[in-house]
Amino acid sequence: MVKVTLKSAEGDVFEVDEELALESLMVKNMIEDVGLDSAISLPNVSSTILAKVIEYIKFHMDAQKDGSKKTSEEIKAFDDDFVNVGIPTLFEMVLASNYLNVKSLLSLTCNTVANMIKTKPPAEVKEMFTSAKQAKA
Amino acid sequence: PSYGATGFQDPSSPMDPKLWSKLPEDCVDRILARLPLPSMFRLRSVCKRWNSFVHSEAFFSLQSEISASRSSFLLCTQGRVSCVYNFSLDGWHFVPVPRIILPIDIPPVTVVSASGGLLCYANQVAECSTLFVCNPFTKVLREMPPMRRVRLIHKLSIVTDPSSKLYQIMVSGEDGGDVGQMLCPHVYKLYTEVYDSRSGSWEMAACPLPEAKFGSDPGVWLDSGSFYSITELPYGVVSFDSKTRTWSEVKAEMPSGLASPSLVAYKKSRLLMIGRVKGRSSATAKPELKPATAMAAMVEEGLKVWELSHGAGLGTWTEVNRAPVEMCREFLDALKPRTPLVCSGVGDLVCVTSHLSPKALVFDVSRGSWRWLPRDPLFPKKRNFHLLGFCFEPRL
Repeated sequence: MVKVTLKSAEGDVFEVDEELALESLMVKNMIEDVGLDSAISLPNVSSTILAKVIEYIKFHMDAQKDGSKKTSEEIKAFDDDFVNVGIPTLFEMVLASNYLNVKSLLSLTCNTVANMIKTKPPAEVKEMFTSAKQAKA
Repeated sequence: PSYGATGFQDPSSPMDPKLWSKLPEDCVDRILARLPLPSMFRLRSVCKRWNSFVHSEAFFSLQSEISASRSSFLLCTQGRVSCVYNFSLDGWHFVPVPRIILPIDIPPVTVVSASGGLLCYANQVAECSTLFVCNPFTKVLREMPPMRRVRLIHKLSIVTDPSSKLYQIMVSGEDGGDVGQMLCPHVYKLYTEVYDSRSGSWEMAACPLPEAKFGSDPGVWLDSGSFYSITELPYGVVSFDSKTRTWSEVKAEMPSGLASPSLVAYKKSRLLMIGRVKGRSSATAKPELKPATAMAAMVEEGLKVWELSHGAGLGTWTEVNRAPVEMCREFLDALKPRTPLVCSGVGDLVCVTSHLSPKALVFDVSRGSWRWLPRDPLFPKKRNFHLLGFCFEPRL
C-alpha cells in the first residue's frame, strides 16, 4: 500500500495510506501536482486536529468496507461522540475540514454548529460572527 | 452516505466571537444552509449578506447536498391550523400555511396534495374546479387555469421535478355534465387531465380504466414518472405514466385478506403498500399473553407492509414487515373495520394514520422498526384535528 506523509503545522509527521489521504480533496490535488516523493505540508492544521481528522476518515472508510459490521447506530454514535468536543476544538475542526476539503467531516461539523445556533436569538448570532474590528468600522 | 449529526453540543453554550468571527464566509454559508428552515428565516436578519444569501443559487446547491430525510417534514393541515413534524428534531412546529379565502358560496379549498415544497389546494368533495398551487415559504400562490373537462375531482396529485422548479398536476374526475350519471350515480365516466407548469395549461390525457374505481388512498409518484393508486373493490393498483399519459393496471396479485390498502413511495423508487389483514396472528404473538387475549389474538387484525417487485409481466407483493401486535391493537381499536388508512412516506419513514384516528404510527423502513408519532403540547387540542399528513420538503 502506497503511503503518504502529511506534515502538521508543528512539523509532526503522519504517515497514512494513500487511499485515506485522497479523502481530502486538498491533499488529492497536492499529490496530483507534486507527487508522493516529499511530505505534504499542512501549515494550517495542528497535530491534534490532524490526528482527529485522520481518525474520522479511517473510521468511516472501515465502516464502508465490505464485511464491516458497523450498524448505522454505531456510526451515528461515533459521529456524535466525535463532535462532542470543546468549542475551540470544534471550531478548529470546521476550519480544518474546510481547508482539507473533507466533505463528510465538513458536513458533520457544520451541522453541529448549525444545531448550536439554531435556537439563538439573531442578535447573539450576529455578535458571534462579527469581529471586534468589523464592529468598530 | 450522509453522516447526519444531531450533535450533543449544548445549544445554550456561548459562542465566543473571538473564534467564530474568524470563520471564512464559505463556512458560514454552509452552516446557514444546514439550519432548519424556521431558524434560517429567523436568523437571516443577522446581516444583509445572509438575507440575500438565502435566495441565491449558491444556497440552493448547498441545501441540495443535505440528504432529503433531514429536510422532510410531515405536514398536517386542517382549517386554520397547520403543523409540521420535524423528524430530525423530533418535534412539532406550527407553520403558516396560507388559507385561501374564497367568496362565501364556494366551498373552502384545503391542501389535497403536496410534492417537494409545493402544496396543491382543491376541494374534492363538492364541485369546485379551481385549484391553487402554493409555496408556503416564499408565499407565492398561483391560481391554476380552469380544467378543460373535470368538474368533480376523484383523484388529484401534484409532482415536482427536484432539479427544476417545474411541476405537474394530474387530475382524474367526472365532467358533471352527464345526464345518465344523475339517474344512476354509481356509473360514471372519468376523464384525466394534466397541468404542466412549463406550458401553463391543462391537456387531456387518456381516460382511466373504465372498471377501475379509485380508493381513498392518495396515490404516489415514483421517480420513473409514474403515478400509482389503489383501486377498489376488489382491490387493485393502477398506474399513470406521465410520459405517455396513459393508465395501466399493475398486474400483481393482492395479498389475501387485505383491507384498506394505501401506497407509499420509499425513496421515490420503491413502491410499498400498507394494509390491514385479518387472520391468525402467527409467531409474532407474544407467548406471555393471557389465555383470553391469546384467543382474541387468533383472529386479530394486523398491519402489514409489502413491497412490489416488478417481475417480467407479473409483479409480486412481498411482505416486508408487520406492526408489533400491541401497537397494532392500540392503533386499530380506534378504527372501524373498513376505515381507510392514510400513509405518507417522509424520507426513510412511513407515517400510518386514518381519518378516524387520533394516533399515528411511524414505520422506519431502513431499520424495520415501529413507533408512535409523538404528540406535543404545542399540538392543537381540537378533537377533530387528525394527523393526516403530506410529505413536505420546504424549498424556496
